[in-house]
Amino acid sequence: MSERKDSKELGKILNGSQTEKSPLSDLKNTAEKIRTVSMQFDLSEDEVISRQASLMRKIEKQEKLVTKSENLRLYRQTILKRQRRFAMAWVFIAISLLSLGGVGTVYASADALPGEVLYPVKIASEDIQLFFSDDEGDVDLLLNFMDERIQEMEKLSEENNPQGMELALEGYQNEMEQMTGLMTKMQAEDPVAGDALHAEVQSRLEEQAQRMLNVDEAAGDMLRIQEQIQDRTETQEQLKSGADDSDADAEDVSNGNGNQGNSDVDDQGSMQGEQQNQQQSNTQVSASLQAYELTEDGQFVLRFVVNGAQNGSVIVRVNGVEYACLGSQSSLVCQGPAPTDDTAQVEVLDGSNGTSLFSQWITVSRGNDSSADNGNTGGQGGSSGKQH
Amino acid sequence: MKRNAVPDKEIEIIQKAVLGDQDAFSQLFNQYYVPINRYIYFHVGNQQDTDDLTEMVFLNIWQSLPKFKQGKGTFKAWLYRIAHNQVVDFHRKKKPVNSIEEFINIAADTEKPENQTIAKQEILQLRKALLQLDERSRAVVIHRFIAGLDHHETAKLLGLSEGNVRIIQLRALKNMKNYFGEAENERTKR
Repeated sequence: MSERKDSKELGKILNGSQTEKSPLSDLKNTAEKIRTVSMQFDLSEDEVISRQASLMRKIEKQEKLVTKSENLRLYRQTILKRQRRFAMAWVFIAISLLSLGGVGTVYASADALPGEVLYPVKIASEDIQLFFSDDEGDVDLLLNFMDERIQEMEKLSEENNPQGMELALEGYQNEMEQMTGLMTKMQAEDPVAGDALHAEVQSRLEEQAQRMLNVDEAAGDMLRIQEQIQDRTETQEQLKSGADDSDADAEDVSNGNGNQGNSDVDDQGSMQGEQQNQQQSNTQVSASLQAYELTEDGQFVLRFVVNGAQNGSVIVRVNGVEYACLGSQSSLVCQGPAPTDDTAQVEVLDGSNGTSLFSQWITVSRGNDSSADNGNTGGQGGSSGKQH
Repeated sequence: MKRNAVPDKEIEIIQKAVLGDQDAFSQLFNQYYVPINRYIYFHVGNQQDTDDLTEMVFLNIWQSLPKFKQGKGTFKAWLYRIAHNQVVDFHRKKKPVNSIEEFINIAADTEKPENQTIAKQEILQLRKALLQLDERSRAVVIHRFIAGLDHHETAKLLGLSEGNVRIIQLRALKNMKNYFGEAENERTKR
């Protein structure tokens, strides 16, 4: 075909590999014209430099945002991991108590867990199924829904989606709560029927516990929190900037009392210079330890309620080792390497002046969450004023 | 030496930029900003959109540099691929320019013809000539003669065969040659 031949010939002419006169040579001139005219579209050196400066500023800004968002992601993963442990504890508690016939105890303690409905549409459709079935059917349905939640967590773990896992996990906890409540009711109303279901429920829960362990392990690989938690400066930066973002995540950390002082600090967040310093000096600063926990991966996690401190101004040390802390203004979650001894000294210092806000020797309980009493020993107790 | 072989010096700069060296990135910026800006301009025909898109392209380049692999095409072709994607995305999101008049109105940037330099008038004429072409032919001409990509790179970027690119190029140049000829005749008549 001649057009194909012409196109090849033109290609050669344009490449300069064919120089003899050709009817297509004019097209080379057209191509040259396009090149030369387009080259007249130019920018001055100053314009290029100015645009470069603008771009570099944006790049720096963007990189800071990326760092912050990465820190927030790590924070959420930390919270998520703890929630998973709670869920695991739930499964084992349920299994052991069911086997002992103590379902009522499980139901009674269910209030301690968060119970928000996070999948409104899906949950609504599941609720409809529950509505149309009897109590025995409800238990079976709930176990199916719990299987579904675990399957969601398995998928989300593969997709490296910790936020999605949080939602699935909370759904699981809700259903566990409903199921144990139902079992209590059934056992009270008809012990024979209750016992008949007992073995089946126990077997299903054991299966779920195994799957949860696998999810936990896979997600644990994904997290590697210890390796990824960056230096304390970055963490404090996160605390300063991410209070709004992290409030929702921090809600599961117990808030304690005395939030009034904290909200005062919130309101001062935008104040600058002397005005802010003056306000700070009038604020009572206090810290108390709410709970602590030794994790399976050798980390020691402590939860504090801190009132009146400026964001990022609190330092937490365990046996003299400074821990990385995350959280909103009143609730702090701190994490670091587990103490080697069975006892450890926990200290909270005001980062701005080094004043001790809290000091306590605690017993490191291996394997379980521990609630801390607030009986401080030494230091300046839980309500020290800020000193200058 | 192959036509598109990258000079050693540039390879060194690219490698540094890939590792996050901002000075090296600045050098690449200085070298490629104007060509990319020009390339986008002839695609979108509006200075403000051109500048915004060029900035987005370079932000994208900075973020994507670690993904650049030597041996999978030239750096230049890689840059134009990012720019091309940005332009395609822009056209997808933005209401298309339907008529040449509308395009020219945008292109003229409200400047009166008598105030336009000869260079600007020629640029405008080139853009009119490009608008005579269908979208695919226009893309081939811009990539071949304004971006300076070869047949192979153009074909790869536009998802065409090299033979296809050659044929489209032949037809497009014939069309543009006629357009320029007619425009010249009109000008001499006046």
